[in-house]
Amino acid sequence: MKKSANAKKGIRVLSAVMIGTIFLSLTACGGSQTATSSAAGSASAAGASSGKKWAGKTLTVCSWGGAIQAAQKKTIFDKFAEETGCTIVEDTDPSPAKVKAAVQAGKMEVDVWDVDTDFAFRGEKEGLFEKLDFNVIKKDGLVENFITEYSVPSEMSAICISWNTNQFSESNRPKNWTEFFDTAKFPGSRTLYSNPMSMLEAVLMADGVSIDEMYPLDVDRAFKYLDAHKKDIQTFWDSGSQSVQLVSSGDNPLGEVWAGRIIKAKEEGQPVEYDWNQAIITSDSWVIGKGSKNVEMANDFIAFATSAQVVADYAIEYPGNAPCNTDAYKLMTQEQVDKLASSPEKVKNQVYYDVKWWVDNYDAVYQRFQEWKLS
Amino acid sequence: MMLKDFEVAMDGVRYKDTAKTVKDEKTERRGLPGRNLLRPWMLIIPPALFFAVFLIFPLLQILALSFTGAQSALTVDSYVKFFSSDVYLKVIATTFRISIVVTLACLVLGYPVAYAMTVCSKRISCLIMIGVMIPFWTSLLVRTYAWMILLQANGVINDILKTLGLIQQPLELMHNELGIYVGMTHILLPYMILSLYPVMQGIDRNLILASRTLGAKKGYTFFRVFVPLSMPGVSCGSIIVFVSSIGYYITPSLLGGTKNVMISQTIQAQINKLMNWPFASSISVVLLVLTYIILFLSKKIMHVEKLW
Repeated sequence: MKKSANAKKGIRVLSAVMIGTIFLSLTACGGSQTATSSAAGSASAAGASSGKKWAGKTLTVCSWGGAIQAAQKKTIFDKFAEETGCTIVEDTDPSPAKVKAAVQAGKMEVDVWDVDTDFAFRGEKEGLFEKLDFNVIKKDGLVENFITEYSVPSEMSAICISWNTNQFSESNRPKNWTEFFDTAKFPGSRTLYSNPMSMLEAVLMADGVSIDEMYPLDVDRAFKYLDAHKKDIQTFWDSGSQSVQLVSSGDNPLGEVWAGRIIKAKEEGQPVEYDWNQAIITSDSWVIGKGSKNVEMANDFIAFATSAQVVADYAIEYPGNAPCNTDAYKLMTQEQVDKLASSPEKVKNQVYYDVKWWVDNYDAVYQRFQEWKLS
Repeated sequence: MMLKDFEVAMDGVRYKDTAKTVKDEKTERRGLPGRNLLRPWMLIIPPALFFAVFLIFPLLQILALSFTGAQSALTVDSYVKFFSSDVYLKVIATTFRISIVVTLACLVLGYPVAYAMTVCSKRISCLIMIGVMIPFWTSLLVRTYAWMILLQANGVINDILKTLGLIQQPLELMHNELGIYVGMTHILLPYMILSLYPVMQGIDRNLILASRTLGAKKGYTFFRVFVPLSMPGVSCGSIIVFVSSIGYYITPSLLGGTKNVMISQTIQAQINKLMNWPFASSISVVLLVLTYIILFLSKKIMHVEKLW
C-alpha cells in the first residue's frame, strides 16, 4: 500500500515536470517578438493641467525596436509628448504581415507605423493606410522620391559593403561591388540580404551598370551575374543582427549589410568595417493605419517627426541613417553631416531606390529570386 | 533537493501499480459524488472547446484563404502554382529529407539513453534525466545560438582542431545541411527520450527473465524480446520528432545555408515579404495534408494504437 501511494506521488511530480516543460518550450518558441510598451506618463500628467492640444490623449507608434527606436524615443516621441501633452505608447515590429492582420481584424491599436518604403507603396495598393493631411504635414525638404498620398519618408537607410577586419585590412579590401564579388582577389564566402531589392542593384553595379542607368533594372542580366557567383554566396540573411553576426564572426568575411547595424557593431568593438561607396539608399516611411481612431493626432505627429529640427536631432543621435528632410543638413555641423549615410557629397556615388519601379515589379522579381535561390 | 525530486518522480514510474483490477476501478467510479450530473466523458469538453476555437476555426480560415483569389473569388490558382513549380516540390522534398534524418538520428542517439535509464541504478538514471531535462528547458533560440558559437568558421570546434594542427582551413560545419542536422537533433532529442523511457519502463522484466532462463543469450533476448516490446515508444517518439521537425523555422534559418530552405521559411517569405496569404495558406494546407498522410501510413505500419 505504501508503495502505491509513493508511486502516485511520483507520477504527480513527473507529470508536473512534463507540463512545466511543455509550457516552457512553448513560451520559448513564441516569445521571440514581444511588443514593448512604454508610456511617457509624466508628460501626459503635466499636459492635462496645462491645456496642451492633445493632453490626456494616447497615440500608439510602432517602429523597429533596438537602437533605432531608442533614438526615436529620445528625439521624437518624448519631445512630441512634451509639446502636445499626449502619451506615446510604443510598439515594435511593423512587419507587413502584422499591419495587414491588424487592418483586416478591424481593430487598429497602432496609429502610426514606421514601415519599409516598398511596403508603404504596396500596402497603399491594398488599402491598408489612411490618406495623409498635407495641410498639416509640410512637404518642404522631404525627399521627393518617397512621398505619396499615403506616406512620407521617416529616415533614409543605406545598404553597403562591409568586411571582417581580421581577414581584410583597410588597404586590402573590396572598394566597390565588382571587387566584392572578386573571389580571386578576396577569398572567402559572401553573405547577401535575402531580398532582391538592393541586392540586384549591387549585382548590376558589380557587372558595370552605372548609377544613372540603373532603372529600370535589367533583371535578366542581374540573375545571369548571380548564377556565375552563386557558389561564393554561402548565406542569405534575414535580419540585421544575423548579417552582423555573419560578418563579425568571420563565417562570411564579406557582406552586404545595413549601415546603421554595422556602425553600431563597430562601436561595440566588433571586428567589422564598412564603406559608403556605391551604397544603396532606401527609406522607411511614416503611415497611418486604416481605421486609426486618432488620425488627426497622427498627422500632427508625422508633421512633427518630419520637421527639419527633429530630423536633425534624430540624425545626430543615430548617424547610421540619413535625414529624410534635406533642410536638416542646414541645422547640423559639417562634422555631423560627414558621419551620415547619405551626406550630400556621398550621394553621387550612391543609388537611390526607385521605389515606384520596385512596387510594380517586386512580386515577380521576388518570386524569381526565391526560385533561383532554391534551384 | 532537485535530485531528490527526481528520485521521487522516478519512483512513481518504477513501481507500476499493476494490482488494481477493472472491478476495483468500477467500484471507485461509482463512489464519485454527483455521478448523475458529471459523466467522465464530459471532462473533455473544456479542451474540446479550446481546440475548436483556437485550432479548428483558424484552420478552416486558412483552408478558405487558400482557395481565395483576387476579389475574394473562389479559385484553385494557389494550388496550381504550387504543383506546377518544381521549386516548391523541391522544398517539400528537402523538408521531408531533413525531418527523416533528424528523426533517425534522434532514435539512434535516444534509444540507448532511454535504455540506460531503465537499467541503471535509480541515482544514475536520475542524473541522466536531469541531463536530458535541463537542455530541454533552455530556450530554443539560446540553444541554436550556442551551436553557432561551436560550429562557426572561427568557432570553438574549428579553433581546437586548428590549434591541434589537425586542419589548416576551417571545416564547414554550419550553413549547410550538417548544421541543421546537429542543431535540430539536439533540440528534439529529449522528446524522443521522454517518449521511449516510460514505454521501456513499463516492459515486464519477467519476460526478459523468462527468455534468459529458457536459454536465450543476452543479445538475442534484447533484440527479440525487449526491442519489439519497446516499439510503441519508438513509433510515438518518431512521430513526435518527425512532425515537430517538419515545421522548424529558426534553427534551419540560422544554421542552414542558401540551399537548405525548409517549408516554413518559404511560408514566412510568402506571408511577410510578398503578402501573398492565399499562396502561403495553400502551402500550409499541402504540408498539413502530407503530414496526415504520413501519420496515417505510420499508424498502418507501426501499430501506434498499441500505445493508447
